[in-house]
Amino acid sequence: MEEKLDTRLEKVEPNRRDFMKKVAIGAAYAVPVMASFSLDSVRNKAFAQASYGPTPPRVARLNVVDGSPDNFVVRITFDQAMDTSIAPNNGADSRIAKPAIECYDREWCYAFDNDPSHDTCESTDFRFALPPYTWRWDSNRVHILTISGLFSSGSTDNGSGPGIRIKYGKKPKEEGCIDFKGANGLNLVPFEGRVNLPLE
Amino acid sequence: MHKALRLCRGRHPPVPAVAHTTGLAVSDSKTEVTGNPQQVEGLEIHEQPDGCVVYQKSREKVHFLNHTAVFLLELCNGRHSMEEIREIYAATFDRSPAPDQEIAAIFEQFAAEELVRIP
Repeated sequence: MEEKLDTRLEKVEPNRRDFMKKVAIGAAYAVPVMASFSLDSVRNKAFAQASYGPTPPRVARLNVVDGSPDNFVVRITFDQAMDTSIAPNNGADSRIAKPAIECYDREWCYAFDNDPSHDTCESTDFRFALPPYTWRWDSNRVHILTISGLFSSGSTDNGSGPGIRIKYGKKPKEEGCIDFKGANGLNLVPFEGRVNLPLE
Repeated sequence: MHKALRLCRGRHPPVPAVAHTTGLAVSDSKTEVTGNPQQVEGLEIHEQPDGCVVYQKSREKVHFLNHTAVFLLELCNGRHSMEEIREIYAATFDRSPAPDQEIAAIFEQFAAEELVRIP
């Protein structure tokens, strides 16, 4: 069987051949079908139909590993293992080629006091050039995502409430996300967390 | 001419060489324009246990294909004619006669979704 397949697939790239053999041998025949969706609809639908379990993943902890503005490192710990197979294990900033953090959104706020409603915020979202950042998973299915990047330090208006507030994830009615793939396909897993960086 | 061939011909112009992207690897191979069905550039094909997920950034779309559909899509590398694809598919999945209508239907979808260009 395999030898015949090899002959049939001789004009297929070797790196695709194994996958095709697996496909051909591994499952009973079914009529070929394809379902197509816009990415937006999948994102919305996927979140409603999260395949991770009864509850979608949440950020269990968000902490700053290195808070210096020119080498900002934050660690995001999810409350369950994430399937990162869509997202490369390591990557650099690219909204085109790196779906893992395609929608990754950062916002920093100048905090005057401890009341978030008093903050003045600026977003890195498309209006501004994004500082470079990288991300790293501890392994392929993990709880922990580490993001490193360069941030402007900014300054507080009155100097009394130092802090850069970094906000990740989905704001109400807005995009802002990290994409993960679940067992049933693409899942958008919005999350939100805040860390405060001390300003020097 | 088979129905699959009739349905798929004449929809798109020849395509440039393809840099086939998969979930974990990027092939640097180039294929010449041959007049055969060929995946469009820039597709990201992520393998799944029961098929694959195809990301099409250019159209902001995602496609879920079962295992037989992805098998056909993978054969669209510019090196197989429609007739060869039909024969390989039928032989591999032990379909006799070849399920021409099924093949034609999925190729219509491939073409409509601009996953494959069929000169």
